[in-house]
Amino acid sequence: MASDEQAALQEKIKKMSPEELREYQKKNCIFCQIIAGKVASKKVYSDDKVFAILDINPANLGHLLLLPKEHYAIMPVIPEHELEHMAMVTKALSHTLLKVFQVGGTTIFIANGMAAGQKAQHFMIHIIPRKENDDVGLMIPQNNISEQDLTVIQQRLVARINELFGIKGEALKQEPKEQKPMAEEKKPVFQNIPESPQKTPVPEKFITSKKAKRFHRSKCPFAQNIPKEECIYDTIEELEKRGKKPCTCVTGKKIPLKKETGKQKIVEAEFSEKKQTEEGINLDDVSKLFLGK
Amino acid sequence: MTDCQYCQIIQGIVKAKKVYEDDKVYALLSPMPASLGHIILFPKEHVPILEHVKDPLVAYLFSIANKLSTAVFDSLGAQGTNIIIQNGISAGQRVAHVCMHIILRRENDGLNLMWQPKQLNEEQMSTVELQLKEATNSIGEFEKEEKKPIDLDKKKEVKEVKGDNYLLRQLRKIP
Repeated sequence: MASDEQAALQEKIKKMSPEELREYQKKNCIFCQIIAGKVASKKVYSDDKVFAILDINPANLGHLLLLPKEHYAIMPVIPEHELEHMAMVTKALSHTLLKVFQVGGTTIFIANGMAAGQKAQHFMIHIIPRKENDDVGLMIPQNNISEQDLTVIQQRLVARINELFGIKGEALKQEPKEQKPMAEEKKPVFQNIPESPQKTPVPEKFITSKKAKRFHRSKCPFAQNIPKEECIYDTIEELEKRGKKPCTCVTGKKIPLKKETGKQKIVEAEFSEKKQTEEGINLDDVSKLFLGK
Repeated sequence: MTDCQYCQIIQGIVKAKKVYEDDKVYALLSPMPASLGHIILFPKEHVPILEHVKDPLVAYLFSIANKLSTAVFDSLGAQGTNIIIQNGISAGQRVAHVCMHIILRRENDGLNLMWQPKQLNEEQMSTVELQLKEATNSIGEFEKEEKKPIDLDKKKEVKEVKGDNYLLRQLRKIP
């Protein structure tokens, strides 16, 4: 029956609005309850934005957890000014730990996501006092990696970072491959670099109206003439189902001129007559007048 | 500091795979990574430990680390990131220059960065709590960024209008 309950819960969560979701998270988050004072804890520091407590299962005596008072699950979600405040408090707390416990150093540890070791749904910074040769662990391993793999990763990262920061990136200069005799063959530990996740292509949408025969891009002057109330904004497939044809702005092709109808011929004839009178007097007409016919 | 490895990297004496640089910080790919996409981020100013770094710079470091970790997340298909600062030799700091490690994590990648939790008794915990409460009372206001002094001479230069317009002269004459 537990699976049924879980399924029902998941359906409920999907239907909830963001405000309801936040309240639900707060009720189920033990750290939010600690901050609210409903659950007992060993509070060490608090101000208007952050809250620091002693960890119940510490790595070392004095292991602190620094939490934001608002419920944030991971670091990217936190607004910048709050994160900056947390950073400054982290530095101050690390300093107090050094003073109080007379230790040689501290480790500041942040886990973002389950795969990184985040155990609770509430973001927190671990500040752990460290002594020499203590059995805490937390040593960052060092592995070998080949030059080629590093350059591939570097290129991908630089492209994404330039996008995020808005830097107009310069193309990375490819260093000439130096062939040096290697004393020991370094076995690359990482054999497969995973491909960058493919973004699902978003289908392009075009503008038309009920009365119109064709659909246009948003920049097309015909599209700009359609009043906003009558605008229909849809993908190509759906517009073709409605019987709309593409405009030249979409296809890029010129529409062939229609075949000459009777009306056009008459118009052309009139134009040709007008041209004659403009150029000069038609001698035939004049001669007729004089000849009396 | 010529002995410091990271300062040499900033000056360009040592080759490194740079990922991001601006006037305050420098980020590069670690040559001996813990996992694919291990970035080392450090301030350009030579500071040995975190406590000596000025408050606005600490704040800036954390916000850049946040943005870098999202960039790495997107481009290398990770499921989590770890941000670690090793502050002091007993914490494992190898170079005497503050640095932050941004490590990408995927499920079942074999990295063990967790610790064994210890069971401490109530007495120890409550004494520690009291000690720390007293000490944290001294945490007061944080330093703000120093605003650079404005050069008044430069301001005057800007005000001089090039090519005095006769219309403007007329306007100035009006009381």
